[in-house]
Amino acid sequence: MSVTDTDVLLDVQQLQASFLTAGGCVNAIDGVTFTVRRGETLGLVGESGSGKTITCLSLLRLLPKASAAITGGRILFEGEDLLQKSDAEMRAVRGGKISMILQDSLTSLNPAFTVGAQVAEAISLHQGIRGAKLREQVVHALRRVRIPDPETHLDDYPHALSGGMRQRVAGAIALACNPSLLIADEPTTALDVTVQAQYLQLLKDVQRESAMSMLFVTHDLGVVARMCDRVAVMYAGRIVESAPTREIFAHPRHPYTRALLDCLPAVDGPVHELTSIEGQPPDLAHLPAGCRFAPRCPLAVEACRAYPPETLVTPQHRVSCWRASELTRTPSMVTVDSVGASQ
Amino acid sequence: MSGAMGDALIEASQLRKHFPVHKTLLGGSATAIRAVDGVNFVVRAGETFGLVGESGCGKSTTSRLLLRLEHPTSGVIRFEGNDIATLSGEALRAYRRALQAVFQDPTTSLSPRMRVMEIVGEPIIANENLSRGDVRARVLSVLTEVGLPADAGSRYPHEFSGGQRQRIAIARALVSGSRCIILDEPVSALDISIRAQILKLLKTLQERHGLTYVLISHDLAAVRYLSTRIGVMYLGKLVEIADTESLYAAAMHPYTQALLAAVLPPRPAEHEPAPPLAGEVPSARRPPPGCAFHPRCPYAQPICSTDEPPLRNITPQRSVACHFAGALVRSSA
Repeated sequence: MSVTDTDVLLDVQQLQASFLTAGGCVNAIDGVTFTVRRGETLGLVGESGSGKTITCLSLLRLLPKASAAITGGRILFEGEDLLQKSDAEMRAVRGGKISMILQDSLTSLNPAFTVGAQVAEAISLHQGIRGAKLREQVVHALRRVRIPDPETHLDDYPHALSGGMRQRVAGAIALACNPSLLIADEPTTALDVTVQAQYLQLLKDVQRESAMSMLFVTHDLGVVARMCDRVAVMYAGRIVESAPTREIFAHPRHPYTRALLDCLPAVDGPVHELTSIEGQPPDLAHLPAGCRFAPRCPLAVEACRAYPPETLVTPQHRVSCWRASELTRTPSMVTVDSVGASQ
Repeated sequence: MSGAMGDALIEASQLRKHFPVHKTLLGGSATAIRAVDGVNFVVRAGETFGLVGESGCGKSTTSRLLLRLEHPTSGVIRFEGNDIATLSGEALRAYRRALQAVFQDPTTSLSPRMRVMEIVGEPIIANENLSRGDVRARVLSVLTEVGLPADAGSRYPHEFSGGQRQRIAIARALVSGSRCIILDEPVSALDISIRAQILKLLKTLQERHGLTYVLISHDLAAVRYLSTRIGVMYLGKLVEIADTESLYAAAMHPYTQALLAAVLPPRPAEHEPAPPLAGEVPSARRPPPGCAFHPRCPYAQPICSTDEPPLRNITPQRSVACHFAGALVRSSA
């Protein structure tokens, strides 16, 4: 890779996490490898159960201790392995250098504390300031997420705010200590489209001001196209393809990525017939021997069912598919391409 | 309006549903949430009428009024010409057979303690006099039709994936030989690869049985795929009704324009998108005077804050509630 070490903020290598279930031990994520560079946004895309959220929680070492554990790999953040840190060191990282915004602000904010108190907690924990200085910082944090007249909202409880405003408060808490990495796990999924547009714009603006990196988890390819510099596509606990955003939309190489793009109804351009992916993702307790997508893949051949695919690495692209090299030049998604070309 | 499609199956006129809000302890005045506030529309036989809008716009309340799960504060809903509020006895049972519903979340809309055979059979057991063998035969044939395995009947909902559970809900809606199905966010809870399966299934079933759909959704791409005509709601009112193609090609109401502009197409943009619409939907307890959209509207004029624009026909295929409709045409490009 042409990337120098100083460009890379987060380097995740062969990360594996296991969960104890009624059916035994399952690997919720299995050999997840990706990097996030300084100032860039990496999109982590996949359907429910693909391991996106488990990946995020693993990065912060927030997996439930009773039922889950990280069983392999390395998480290098600014060159240091987070898996080697003590619990106290990790507490300083969480909310400090790495922070997180969750999907549902109604559950991520505490209903019993005021907005001001919850933002103040994050700041005082990490920066140890109190009193008037703290209040000033809280107001600043709320203003930064474009909450109008922040002074008047300090004593509001979360339930009194609209969904969009609550998610801004969650953003204010996450951004309060100027993290170098923001993990955003479906931050706009619970919002209406016009409010989502505002929130995405806000995250873009904050990122521009602070050169922060983002790991953006979503299942919405429209959000990916709007927000991300690069994309990693997850399926059944593994990253099956990663590439720069423009590249992956123009030349998706994994059959699963192609299928995801083909099964979306269009909001503009001609109405096209949908290609659905038949079947459903595999049960993690009973994974197929070969490629995990093979049972649903229209292009699967004998080798796909027998052996896990190798990862093909090019300067632009990483793709785990036995047939990736054959599929390079095949024009796919005629409809999406032609929509992009017209208007 | 005489429809080019079928005859009017459902007609809603001056439909209102206000939910009372009681006085607070400190004596605030009693008000009402105007969830649906004077809505008129026609659903023609064989079409899919889409109702779109953001949360709180009244689209789900409208669907509950159609299903007679709520009674309107005022206004009338006619089904094949009959006021549904006056139905009782056999006529009401016939209405229930003709109009069924599929809801957003099949984990909560299906009873976890009933087997699929009972869940899907319940509408015909309740409304028709059938022998157990006949119920069984009808359920099995409809389960096959929605693409479920033959042994599905003897299993419980939790044994199925989300997409399969939504197929169970669709089977339940079909089993009574219904002619119209209210689809309230039928694919919103599903993963994208599963959404396409369900959307295609709904389209196939409609063609095969000549079904009429009322599709409630905030997903503008899914609505476009299924609908023939669309009504856009904002704060309890319909602001634009048009056939699908002209609506997506050139929305006339500024809110419809903003809504469509906020949808992110799944491909990288060539240039920065226009700045998003500011503000949020106001409270339905105190809707703004005049046009409810005027505080957020980029084209608002003094008249918009005083006079409420009526929904008026701009072309035979389109009605818009905006003082300046027609002057504000903006192509979606």
